Amino acid sequence: MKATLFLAALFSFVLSTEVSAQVTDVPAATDTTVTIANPGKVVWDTSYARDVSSGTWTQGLGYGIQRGRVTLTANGGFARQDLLKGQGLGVDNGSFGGQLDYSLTRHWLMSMSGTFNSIGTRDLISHGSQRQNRLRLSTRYSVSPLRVMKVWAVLSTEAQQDHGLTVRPLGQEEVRLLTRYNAAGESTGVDSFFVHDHRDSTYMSARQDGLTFNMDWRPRTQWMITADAVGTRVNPKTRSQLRDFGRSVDGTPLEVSDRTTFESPNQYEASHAQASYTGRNGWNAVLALKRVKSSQQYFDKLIRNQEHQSFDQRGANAHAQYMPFRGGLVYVEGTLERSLSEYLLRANRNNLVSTRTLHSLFSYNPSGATRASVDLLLDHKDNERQATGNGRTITHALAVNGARRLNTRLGVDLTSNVSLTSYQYQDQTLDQDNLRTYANLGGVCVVSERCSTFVHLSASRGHSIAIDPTRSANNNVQTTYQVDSQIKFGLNSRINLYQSYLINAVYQIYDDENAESRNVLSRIKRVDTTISDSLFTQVTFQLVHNFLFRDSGSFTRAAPDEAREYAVGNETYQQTLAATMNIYPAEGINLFATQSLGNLKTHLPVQNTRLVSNRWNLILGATVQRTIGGSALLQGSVQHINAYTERRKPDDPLNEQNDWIAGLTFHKEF
Amino acid sequence: MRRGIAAVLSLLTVVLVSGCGLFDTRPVRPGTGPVVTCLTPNTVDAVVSNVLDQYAVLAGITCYTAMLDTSFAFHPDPSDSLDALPDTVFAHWTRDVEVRDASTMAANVTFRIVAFDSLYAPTVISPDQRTQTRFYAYHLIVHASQVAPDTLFQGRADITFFQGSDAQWHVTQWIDRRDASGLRTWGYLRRVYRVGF
Repeated sequence: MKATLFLAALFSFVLSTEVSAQVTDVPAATDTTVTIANPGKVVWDTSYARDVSSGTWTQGLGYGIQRGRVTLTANGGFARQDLLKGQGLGVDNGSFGGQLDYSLTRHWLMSMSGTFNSIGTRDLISHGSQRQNRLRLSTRYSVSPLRVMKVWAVLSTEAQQDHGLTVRPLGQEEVRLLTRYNAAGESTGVDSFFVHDHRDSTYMSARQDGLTFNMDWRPRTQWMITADAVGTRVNPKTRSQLRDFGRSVDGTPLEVSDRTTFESPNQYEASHAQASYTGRNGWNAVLALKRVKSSQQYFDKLIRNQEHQSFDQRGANAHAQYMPFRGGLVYVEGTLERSLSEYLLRANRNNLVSTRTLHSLFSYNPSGATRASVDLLLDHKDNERQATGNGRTITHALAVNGARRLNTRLGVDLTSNVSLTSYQYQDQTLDQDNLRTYANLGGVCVVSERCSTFVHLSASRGHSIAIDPTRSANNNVQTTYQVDSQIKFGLNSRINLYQSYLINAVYQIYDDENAESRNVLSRIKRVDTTISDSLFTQVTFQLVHNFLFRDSGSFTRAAPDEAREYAVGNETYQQTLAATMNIYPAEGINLFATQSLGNLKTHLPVQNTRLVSNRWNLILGATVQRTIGGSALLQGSVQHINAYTERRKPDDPLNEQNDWIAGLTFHKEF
Repeated sequence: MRRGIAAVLSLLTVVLVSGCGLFDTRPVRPGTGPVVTCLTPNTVDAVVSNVLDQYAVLAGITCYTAMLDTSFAFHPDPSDSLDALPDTVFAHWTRDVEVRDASTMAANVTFRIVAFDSLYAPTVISPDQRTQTRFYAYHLIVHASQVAPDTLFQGRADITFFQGSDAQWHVTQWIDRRDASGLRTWGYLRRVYRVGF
């Protein structure tokens, strides 16, 4: 009874709590944090990563120490990324952070932490940068008022500074109207001003206060109750200077500057409560409630004004599971969720999403030799208050799986599912139903540890149905039949052969009888072969051959009562032969070389034309992972890719590729 | 005995669920609209053709979205991403997001031209020929209420195509980049039509 009363009080607390905070997001940037494994040592990491389109230098320095009641960690890093295919394009980011913890008592901890981040982007004509500084003081106190209850809370305050700078040409001039005033402050007319560049600067400073609370309570062995709440509140003051560069009607250069100062109170609150029960026979039941609420204001650089976003989410989740007999499991889960997002300026992004989900599962896994399951998912999602796209999305999915190992050599398995996704919009133009069915039956045969094979037969059918007549003429059914198999054959302990086969036919048949001429069939056959050989401990070889045949064409009836006939429109043969040699000259060092030839033949029977293309590819590379002098580690790989397409005519393009790809890291502890 | 009962109950559940109309589709409303030509994506060029012809076209949404791989991800230009902060509108731009975004845009657009003008770098082809990355310079002209007064969008698109086991090609990754024109990018246009999901 006491537990019930407590639960009721707890859930009412969760639904009514009014703590607050700011929601901020850290800019996407390369992680430069250094992992400190050995306290008391300075750790230095430097690495270079290069791929086809970008090169990134990363430097990181870290230090950590623990003495008695004091723990100190510090981190600094810088990363520079250059986009190699775009002249002048790149991203730079740097960060510095540290944390000092001091234990006053066994239950009471004082902390101070700071982070200083900077991120900048640049291209040929514009650049932007964002600096973010944070200094945080916090105290944590934990207590166990009862033997079965643990409570802890954190109180914090944080000083914040953000500075954003954007320099951006507009590409095409924008007309701005300027009102002229006389000395008395009266309007004397309006001038047109043609803006070609923006240069905007914003500076924000604030203090954020926060409170976090957590409680774990186990009133009885079978019951576990947890509750947590977090909230912060901040009232930032932002000063912005927006500058327009342009020309007047007579071509005279002009600069117009707008300065504004505003305050933007932000709040964030989140709370979560959960009660769980664990009983005999695998009984487990969980009821969880959550609420997230925020109100955030920020300067939107593109619309150059103060945006106000509010977010309110409530959710409940309940699940129960039971094991009626050995290997059997019944699982039912239900979820309700409501999320409301509202914007003051970008009102087209407002939305209210309500979700109802029911997921049930029955599975039977008595041993490793047998498994079976039936899985049903029902999901309804309502989108409201949007500028466009309001409506309901319904998803129903049923999956049945099973497998049985008949003996040590033979096994069979089955996978099948059916799903319906229905988009039901208020504006019915976009209404659509997608129905998918899939079945796959297969078997495996293990002759020995080195030799095995499997075969699978599958059929899938997808029907895309646009409901509105403006789009329904393109409704069609796509049916795929496929056979795939694989052979693993070990000639001896050193030489292995893997081969996989695939035969596939895809029919695309339009619903509309008048679209008979658009029905198509495409078929493929694929054989992939890999032979690997380890002649010596220092050298291995691998030979890979990929073969693909594909044809496609119309699959139509000549007359309404006749059977459909296949008329091949094009045939393609695609082959690749690749040989790879790996050499291990010393411990932790691997040198490799891969030479490959790709061949592509296309035949168009109607035009009786044949196209042939050969592409050569050579990859030379090395990987290393070695300890140097006991306290340093070098690891990474470097490879050079060279490729070209053989010319069939003297003026054909070679389509050359000449790229270095590398990733190297040097780690040193002092 | 209990296992037998469970098996029978499971079978009954499957039969009942299948027979309760949970997987029934709706009838199509009478009438016919425009017919679009959606090429079977047997080649990368067919995928590119479908993208150019059907992007932001109401009747062609199904065709455009069929060109996207289930692992599709869109990455904006870093400057566009930075300009949006603290709004993380570009986060987790998956296939589902792209489908909804393109559908919403198609319902809003009154006129559009989509063009890949040139390749600004040589195509990268993987040694097994099943992955290609093409580096396009593009421009779009889109008339739509939500992006007014901007109508011209221009930049670069690094698009990666992957040939699946069914030999069909799909777009797996789309990296958007600004060019030197200063014009707004395709990523900016996409951003405008993403609604809180």
